[in-house]
Amino acid sequence: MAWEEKLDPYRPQMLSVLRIMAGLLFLSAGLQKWFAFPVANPNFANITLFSMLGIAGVIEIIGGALVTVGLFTRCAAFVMSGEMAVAYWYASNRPARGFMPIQNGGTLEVLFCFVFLYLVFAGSGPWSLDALLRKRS
Amino acid sequence: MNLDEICTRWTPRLLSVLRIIAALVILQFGFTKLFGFPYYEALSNQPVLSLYWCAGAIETIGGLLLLIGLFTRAAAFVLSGEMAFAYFIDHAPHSLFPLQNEGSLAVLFCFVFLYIAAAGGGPWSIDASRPRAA
Repeated sequence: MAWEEKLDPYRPQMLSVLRIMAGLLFLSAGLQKWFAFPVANPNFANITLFSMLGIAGVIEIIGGALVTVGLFTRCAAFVMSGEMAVAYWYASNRPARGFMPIQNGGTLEVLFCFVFLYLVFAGSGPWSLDALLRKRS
Repeated sequence: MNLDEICTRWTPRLLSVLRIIAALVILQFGFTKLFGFPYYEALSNQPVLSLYWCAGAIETIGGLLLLIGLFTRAAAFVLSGEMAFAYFIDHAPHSLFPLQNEGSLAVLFCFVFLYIAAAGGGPWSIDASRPRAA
């Protein structure tokens, strides 16, 4: 057996670890927009609900919380993946700053978008409320 | 075909997609440090063998291996460690929170690569098509 294959049994658990970390990072972005927590950002001081930023913050809080605990993961991840795609293309002035994500500041959005797209298909792994619910039913 | 079957069939392929995207994104950081392309003020034109240049070398070589899916797990493991290193020496000292120390990307990279190290490169990779070692 190749040494790499010894890692295979841990694959589902690692999926849950990735899901939890991505969820927490995403959640913190939403909490910062709406509650200035954990750190305030002056750009979000006058946020209103029916604006692009306001709705983005709501998606980030609800979706981030759901993905972190692993409840309705596929649906939540699908919406979040879409939100990140919008965020990448919508963010002001991005095309003017450069074509490559490293130049236009969109690297995080790209990576989030594809991580959540993967979670839509892969699900939430064993350490999740989804898995608990499946076990009970 | 119901949704569960579609997901089961496509999960490995999406793993390859995630691997390729992550590799392309990390390659930018490697190329900008080593070759100044794409040019990025904060990182480009590092002195040879400086800490950032070495990071760029790891990102370039690891990124290329990940992109084609060759020695995927080993490359991803090294890159994951590099991202953890980058987070703790470059971002963590500024603040406890990734939002403020701008380390979200490093954290996310670290865990994506850690997952790829455990999960492999998926079907669309050289690893999947080369003959297996006995």
